[in-house]
Amino acid sequence: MQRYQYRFKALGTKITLTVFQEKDQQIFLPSQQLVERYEKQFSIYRPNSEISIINRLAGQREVRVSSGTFDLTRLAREISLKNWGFNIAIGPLVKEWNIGFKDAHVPSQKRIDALLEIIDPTKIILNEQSHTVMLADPYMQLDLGGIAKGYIADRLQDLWHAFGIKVGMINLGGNLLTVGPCPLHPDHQWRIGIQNPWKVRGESLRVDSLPACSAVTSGIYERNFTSNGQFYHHIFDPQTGYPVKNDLMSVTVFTDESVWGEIESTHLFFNPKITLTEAQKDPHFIGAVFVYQNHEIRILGI
Amino acid sequence: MDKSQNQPYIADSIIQFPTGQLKLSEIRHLFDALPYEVDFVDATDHFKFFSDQPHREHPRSVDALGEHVKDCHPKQAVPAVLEILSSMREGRTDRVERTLNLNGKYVHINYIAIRDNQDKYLGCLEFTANVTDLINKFQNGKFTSPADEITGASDSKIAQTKKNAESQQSDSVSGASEC
Repeated sequence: MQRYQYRFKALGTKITLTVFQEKDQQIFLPSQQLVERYEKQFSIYRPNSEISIINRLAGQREVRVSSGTFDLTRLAREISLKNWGFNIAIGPLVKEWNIGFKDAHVPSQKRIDALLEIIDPTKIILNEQSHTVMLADPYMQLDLGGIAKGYIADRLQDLWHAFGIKVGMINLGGNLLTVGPCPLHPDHQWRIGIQNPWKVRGESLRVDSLPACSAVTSGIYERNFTSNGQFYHHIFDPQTGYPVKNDLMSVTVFTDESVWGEIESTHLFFNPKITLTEAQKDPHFIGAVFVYQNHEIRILGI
Repeated sequence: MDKSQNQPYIADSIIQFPTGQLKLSEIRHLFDALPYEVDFVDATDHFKFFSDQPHREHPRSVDALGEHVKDCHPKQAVPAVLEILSSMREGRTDRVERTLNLNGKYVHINYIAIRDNQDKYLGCLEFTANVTDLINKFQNGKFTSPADEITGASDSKIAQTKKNAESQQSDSVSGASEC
């Protein structure tokens, strides 16, 4: 079966779109346009994105935003309040540590304590009627980075469906959404590889067969640094201001919607001992694979 | 003993298989040409045959032919060998697989129970493959992944270069919009 693929860079990563019918390639250009539109809307690296404007006017005034930005901000705020580890307002803390960049460092405890006040998600004020967002603290910063890729993957799938395209793959830099029944195998299940954290990119640790779903991985193997012999990575605990301490290397979560994959991969990274019953309380949850630093693997639900 | 001088016992006979026919001489050379080593131990655990490749991972001698397996294996290996063979004879096992590093090579061994159509045990086939080349090819990406796609944490290297590129890009964009 022929694959038709289109690659481009956006959202700070490599994007690969795959369809299986020659004429379905017409979807590639509108897909790229949709991604770029959302990037203009969400990116904290674009000074005129809606999120950048909210951040610039933090502590000053409310900002009217588009429905997509409002919905995603509302969902992200709601999840941030659950103490699942996910926090949409964590930006200033991440920026202080700056892990993944040359000047990464361990901030002073005094600085961390001050930042923990700033990243409080209850200080995100939303107005349902006017679709306005305001940050109550002038030092607050929103960052949809942890959830936007999932949201965008879901909207791409909506776009494909609107064009009548029912089968394909959307890969936003490792955040994967398979669409429709897999045409590559007689059982119509997709073979989804999980990146081997100890090997080069593209090498899988294991391959699972799954129906159309989203696969999102949270891992500490891409961004980290060592200071005074201590290992620090980029998944921060909003309660302590430090990288979350556990023996996980990565968590891959399979969900129906990709935005829930983003949420659950963080949730499970912070709660690796979760039971299947507990995990299934999220109706979006399908399964998860935990990869530990000692190379052990725990499989949940699949 | 010079094996090359010995022709198969009935040189010109043809064996009719359900799926075709082979001359005895063809069978011999076919075994010699296999890129795998084949050894056969019969139902009474006696060493009966080995294929005659020039550089075997397990060198064999015709002197050992006809010996009981416990006489042609290192002493410490005998209990394991006997256990494999009796489990095959009793129908508990059909195949045993071993992977090992031998003289800097990756070697993959299969012990396969051979049975007739009535499931009567005929003996054990030892099938030895030097898979070093295969593993090297795999490690060099010669085989495509069985996965349709791979999920992973965001690639930081791309993210960083993209961020840098973008900050430069957005600088030039603001300059451009001014003029």
